[in-house]
Amino acid sequence: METTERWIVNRGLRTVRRCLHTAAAVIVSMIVLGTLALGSGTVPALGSALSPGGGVWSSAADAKGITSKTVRLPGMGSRTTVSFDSAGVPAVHASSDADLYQAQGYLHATFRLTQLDLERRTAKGRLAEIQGPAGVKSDTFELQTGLLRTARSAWSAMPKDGPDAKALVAYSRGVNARLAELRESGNWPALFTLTGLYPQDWTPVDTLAVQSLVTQNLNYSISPLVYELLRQSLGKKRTMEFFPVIPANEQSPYDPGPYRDLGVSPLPATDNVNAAVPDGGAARTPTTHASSADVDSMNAPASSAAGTLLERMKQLPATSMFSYPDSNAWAANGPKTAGGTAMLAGDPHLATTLPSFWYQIALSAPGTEASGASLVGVPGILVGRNQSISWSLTNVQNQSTLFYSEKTSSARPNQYFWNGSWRDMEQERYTIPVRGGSPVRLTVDRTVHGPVMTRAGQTVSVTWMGNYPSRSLKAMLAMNKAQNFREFRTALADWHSPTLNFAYADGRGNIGIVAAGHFPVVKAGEPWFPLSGTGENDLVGTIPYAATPQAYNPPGHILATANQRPVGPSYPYYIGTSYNAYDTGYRANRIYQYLESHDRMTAADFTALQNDVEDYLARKIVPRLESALESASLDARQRRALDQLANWDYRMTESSTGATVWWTFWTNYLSAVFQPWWDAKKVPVDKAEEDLTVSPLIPSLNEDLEVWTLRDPDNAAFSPPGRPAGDADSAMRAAFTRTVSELGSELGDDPASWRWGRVHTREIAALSGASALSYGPKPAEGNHWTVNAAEGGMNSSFGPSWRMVVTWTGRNRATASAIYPGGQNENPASPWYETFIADWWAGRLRPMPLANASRSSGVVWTLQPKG
Amino acid sequence: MTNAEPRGVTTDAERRAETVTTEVPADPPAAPTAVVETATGSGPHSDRDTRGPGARTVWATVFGAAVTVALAAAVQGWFAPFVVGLVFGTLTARWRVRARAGVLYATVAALGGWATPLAWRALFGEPVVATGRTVAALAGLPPSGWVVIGATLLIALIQALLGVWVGRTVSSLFTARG
Repeated sequence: METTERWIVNRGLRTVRRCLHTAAAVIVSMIVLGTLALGSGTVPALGSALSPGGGVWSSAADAKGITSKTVRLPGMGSRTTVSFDSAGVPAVHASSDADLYQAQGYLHATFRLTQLDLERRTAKGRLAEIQGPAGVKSDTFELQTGLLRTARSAWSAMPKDGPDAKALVAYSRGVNARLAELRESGNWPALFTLTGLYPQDWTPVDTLAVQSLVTQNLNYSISPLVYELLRQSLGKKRTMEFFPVIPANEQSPYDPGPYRDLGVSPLPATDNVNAAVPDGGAARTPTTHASSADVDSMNAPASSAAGTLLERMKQLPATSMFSYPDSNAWAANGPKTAGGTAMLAGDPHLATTLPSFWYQIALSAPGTEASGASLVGVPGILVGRNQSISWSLTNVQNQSTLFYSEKTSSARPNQYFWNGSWRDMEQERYTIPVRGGSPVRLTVDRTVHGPVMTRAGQTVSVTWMGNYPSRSLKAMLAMNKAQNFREFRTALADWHSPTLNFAYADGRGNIGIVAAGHFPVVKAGEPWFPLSGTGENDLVGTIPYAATPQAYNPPGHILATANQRPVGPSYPYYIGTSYNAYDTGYRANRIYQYLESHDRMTAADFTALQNDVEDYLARKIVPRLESALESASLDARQRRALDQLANWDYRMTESSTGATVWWTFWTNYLSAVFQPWWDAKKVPVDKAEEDLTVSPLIPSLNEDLEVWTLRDPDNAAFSPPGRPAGDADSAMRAAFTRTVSELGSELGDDPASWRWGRVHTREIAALSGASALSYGPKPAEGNHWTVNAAEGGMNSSFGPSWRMVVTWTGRNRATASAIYPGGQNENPASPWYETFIADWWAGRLRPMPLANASRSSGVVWTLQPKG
Repeated sequence: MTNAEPRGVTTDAERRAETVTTEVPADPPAAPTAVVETATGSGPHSDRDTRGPGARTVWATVFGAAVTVALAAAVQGWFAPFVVGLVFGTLTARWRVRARAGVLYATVAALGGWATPLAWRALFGEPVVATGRTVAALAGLPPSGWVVIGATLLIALIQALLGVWVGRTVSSLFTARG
């Protein structure tokens, strides 16, 4: 009996155990399958993502390479063909502009969809949705700045029968045709499958938002905030001595004058779509003056707001605002060219990324025959040539952001004082979706000057030229069709932002440069500092187009733009300071030096100049250093290091040891002279390290020291507070001693082994941020101001993003070649991912023919109307 | 076990031994008739049932399952390895064979079913390893294509094992009740 009971108990226990076991199996399975199906937090839904029949593996199909095919696209007017060369550069033949731009949209979406979507997300403040919390700072900044509002406004104001609107619609149709294909096939690029977030349809607003993002990258500058911190620490007098409006050194403006003061072209505040409507905000308390009791923001130090804002901005992606001087372009004609006609070279400098900002393409339709670099996300060609003219561009780098300190009061929340009245700030609320986190709510306040960027201590708003909608796309499309300089210049009248120097050469032997875009003019005040927001320093307009820097067929037969100040000191308008943000002029000076010393130049000469790594400043300073060291007592290692300099040809090649000694010396020399001032005056470097750290990256300091060393060696700057009086020689000797010591510690005792390539590298970084998908870092030549520029520090990730040389041999005849550091396909598994990098690195160019002359690999896509 | 029988396929004698081990308590009392019947003869788990199909049939089933998993993968049926595991878990419980046999069949079907499409892609020139490297880099894993290929197969394997586990435990409930 007892045994039976025990048996029954055992059986019961076993049943319970089985039930528990089963429950555990089911629950664990449900959890695992649920996670595989839905993902968790930032972990993607791995079940579908890694499914071998689809998922991420389907992107292998797109990486395989392409074959000829016929595709039916909705909205296509008539048959369009796309023939590819062996590197994937397409030549598009269409019978209308609409078909042409639809095909371009289809191609961009086929080969650069991830890039398109990431750009769109960045511009529209939706990065965190895919990146998680890491993207919130960028989204907040972009929504505050208002790229999306600007894009929407530009689109709603654009006449829908205009060429730009038609191109935008056609381009969007092309992108969406590709999206429809992918929705059907499921062959999405890996990033979408991994995240489970798939792109929505493309719209004209998306293109305009991407365009705004590029504008921001080129001309959104925070330098007034930096100036404010300098003023608070160094004092205004010293700040303006170290960072003057007009650079201290000799530069080579392409427009040397004479100049005309043509007054101001009005730019109504209502045009700024990211500002409060001036008379729309109800003035609750009209009054002619804000009494001191009313105002508390005036008592807060402006530097605290500037510091807070700068600290926030330094956490943004590098592409959020202007970082480095960008780009070279030059032209020659007449006796300076071998054929006696005209030649053009251009290399816009941008972040060198994989994939590149550029997608090379040749476009052909009745009335349009253009070839060159297209900007991913935008129809048309931004840098290139057509059958009659060629053009390239550089960044003007005039001041395009004005910061305003608003007068506010704690007694009047959400109001500001402007033009004699307290006004309501306009507010807009956003919700930022965050992958793997809670949505972030954001309220953007706007004053009449623009969006409020901070309310820490002081309320600071920003007027940015990029927030004035413009029809730059219309200008670009017209430029693509222009047949001569008059049409080219007329087209650019519509170009407003970013401000660019457009360099030009044509088949009739003409050359020129036109600075197109908004150059803001304020009523009064010093716009390089934050301005008062009460109305007296408001924007009144822009420099009239006829008065912007321009040049055409100069008597010397050469023209060059390399971000130097484009005009001389007598130019009647304020356009920016030596810090905000013109280049030192060393690249431009070197280019002019080369062009002046060469006659009857060929494309090979232009290509050689694009790859030139001679340091213009070193040629001037090194002899002066040698002279300062003549009387110094040097040890054996210092003497050998000096020998490296003495035998150096001033070229920053990878194998050069003199280059290493020179660059380290110059960095230390800057530090020896300016750092004591920074320390004594407590310059808050931690607020904006890149902008305030004493280094060759700050143009004004290089210019100052160059001039003092060569012409004013006893300048008071060599005698900082609390230090013994000094001069250029003593500072150079100290810097040289430190240089040899540092390099000895880092690279060993033998100066003959201190090759530049050991300390200086270049990297072409993956846009995705995945370092394994980047190219490099690899030892590299060049430095911050060589023509072949390597900007962005000792591991450069900034430089010539596109190199092009066009030689005109007749009215409608030219040979053109170009290269960019990347490839046509963004898929890292594709053979076209980094196709061009080897040639680019070696300084070689590839042919850049018009569509009719392109060399097809035999792969042809036929795009047919659908339905 | 004959030479023709692959590993994991049990003989009738082994099956009977397993049946006894599984169903009869270690120290049985004078057992109720129903229980004895369940363990030794009549009902759904009779000797005839526990014998199960022959090796060829089993491996044909495994092959079919692998093909099913591969085809399912092509139509977003990423959970097919779990289903196959579930089926093999249930079947092996019904066949009264050891769990490891179910694990083996499900593993082969799942891995085969997911490896085949990858091999197929590679055979037709798609850069599978390079794609895996891209995905690894994007996911912040060591940038090797084999890491993601391994992860892919691991997901198939985990699903299959879970399927077997659920299949066998659920079956054991019914077995016990029967």
